[in-house]
Amino acid sequence: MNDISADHPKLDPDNALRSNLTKHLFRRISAHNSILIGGGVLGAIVLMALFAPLLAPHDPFSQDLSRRLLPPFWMEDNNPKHILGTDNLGRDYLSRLIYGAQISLMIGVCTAIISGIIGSALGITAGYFGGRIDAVITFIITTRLSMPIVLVALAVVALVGGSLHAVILVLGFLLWDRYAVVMRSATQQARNMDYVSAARAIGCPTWRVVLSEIFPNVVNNLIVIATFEVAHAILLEASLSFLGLGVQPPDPSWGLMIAEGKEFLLFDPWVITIPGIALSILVLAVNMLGDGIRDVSAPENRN
Amino acid sequence: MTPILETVDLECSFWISTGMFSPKKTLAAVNGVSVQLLKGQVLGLVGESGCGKSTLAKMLLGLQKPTKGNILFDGQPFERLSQFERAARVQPIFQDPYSSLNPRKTIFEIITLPLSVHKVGTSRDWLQKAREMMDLCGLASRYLNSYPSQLSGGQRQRVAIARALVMKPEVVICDEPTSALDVSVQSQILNLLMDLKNELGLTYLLISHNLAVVEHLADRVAVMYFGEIVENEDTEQLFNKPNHEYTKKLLNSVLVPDPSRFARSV
Ligand SMILES: Nc1ncnc2c1ncn2[C@@H]1O[C@H](COP(=O)(O)OP(=O)(O)OP(=O)(O)O)[C@@H](O)[C@H]1O
Ligand SMILES: [Mg+2]
Repeated sequence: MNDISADHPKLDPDNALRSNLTKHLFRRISAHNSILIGGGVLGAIVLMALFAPLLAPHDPFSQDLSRRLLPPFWMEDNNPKHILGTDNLGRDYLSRLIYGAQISLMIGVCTAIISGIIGSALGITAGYFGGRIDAVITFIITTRLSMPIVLVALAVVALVGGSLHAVILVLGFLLWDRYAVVMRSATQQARNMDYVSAARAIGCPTWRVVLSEIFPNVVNNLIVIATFEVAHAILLEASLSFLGLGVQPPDPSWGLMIAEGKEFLLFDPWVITIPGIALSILVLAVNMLGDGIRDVSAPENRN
Repeated sequence: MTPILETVDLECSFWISTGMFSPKKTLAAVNGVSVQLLKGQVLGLVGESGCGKSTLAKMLLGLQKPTKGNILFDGQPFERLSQFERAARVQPIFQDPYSSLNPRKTIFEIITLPLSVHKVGTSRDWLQKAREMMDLCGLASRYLNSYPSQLSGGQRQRVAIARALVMKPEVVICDEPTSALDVSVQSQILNLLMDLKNELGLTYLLISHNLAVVEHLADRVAVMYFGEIVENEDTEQLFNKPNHEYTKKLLNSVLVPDPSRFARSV
């Protein structure tokens, strides 16, 4: 029976469906490029951060003032012991870069988790219940959108003092708006589907309808936004650190490295270029991964 | 004979805003509807789009609170039953099988959801039960672990029927159960519904735009017009001697499927 329909595709009523699936598959494979590259680079950076103590050639904190601002390997007078040179306190730049990945990733991931929980809880609640609850939550979202993130973050961090935890908490409690907006509209869409009515007609309690009928159908939005928010948070941390209100020295955050290098910009531009490039590569990789995930998961979301 | 499901003066109105500054108005989607479903019978419900058929169906399923009036199940007020008891007795089959099955769940999970919500049996019984239901609804059990996107429209509607019947309800509300399906599949699904009705002794409320289908399947037909039931008659009576103006218009607006009736009416 199956063989016959394979030989005569036009006679097969399921054929349209199957060719649709292959189309999805093709789209997925072509999207894999950005997933592979983004995921690969991100994976490498994550490994680098995890195994920093093994990979770093020197202690990122030990200073040696006799070896200040040694140039990296592509310039003259470089010291083969310090491939990427040393900073103005004589600390090995490569080691600081490797340890800095830990901080950037930690801030990106923790912030995305905190803001993801806040944003999706608000968005799903607003989208599912609608009415007055929706009006209140929409008001909260609008209020949040009207606040300039950097200024608020600066003010709060200036108040409580800059530290890794402070930055994570402040960014986590500020960056949930996109989750809330997207999850709200995705939930509104999902809750009008008949499978939600069917579950309710079965007698499914509300929490179960939300968790097992709605959430699985909106979760890929969550993952896509999370990747973009990871990148967003990493950049914001860099800005805060650059302004002196983020991660405090001597911790080696990439943003802080750029900030500390700004005095030497004129004669030793590599001091800024190196952490700048590292930051760009990380953000690019995270964004590519997010793009890829969005492309791959979008067609599946359709019925 | 007491009707198994009965509505008394049922009413449901919505507050709709007509503009930012104009006051809200009420729209009576269902207005003073009294219908009876007799056990083992099929009540057809016809009427133009937007006349309130689906709203009536939702109230019968407990998905929409009536603003006034009563629903009686076996002579008992519906509110006295919990949503659980209600669910075990009245189940829906929706129009669009592309929207009525959760795309993230397997066919097994979809069919056994009522069992897991109502905590009936163990997971091993569920497998047995799912197989049984799929068999009953003419669905090969190899689709047990498929996702809805891998099934055709007709197969999906069979899954929806299996899910509706797994708790052995007494009443099934079919809201345009075939209008989203291919013409060639429609009759298969309707035949399946009628077979199941005879086999399991079900009672149907059949909402449809297709008068030929209603004439063929329903024992009684209720005609709905702007939220009100304007005529409620035995099928034969209604199709041969429509009383209300609207019913006459409705019958004239479609091609006559049965030439003999055309001859009669001439
Ligand atoms: N939640 C709601 N809020 C406001 N108005 C509603 C709501 N649900 C339904 N209505 C209105 O109630 C009326 C009846 O809608 P209903 O869906 O019951 O019609 P229907 O007879 O099922 O139509 P169709 O044949 O197209 O399915 C419509 O005018 C509709 O706009
Ligand atoms: Mg309808």
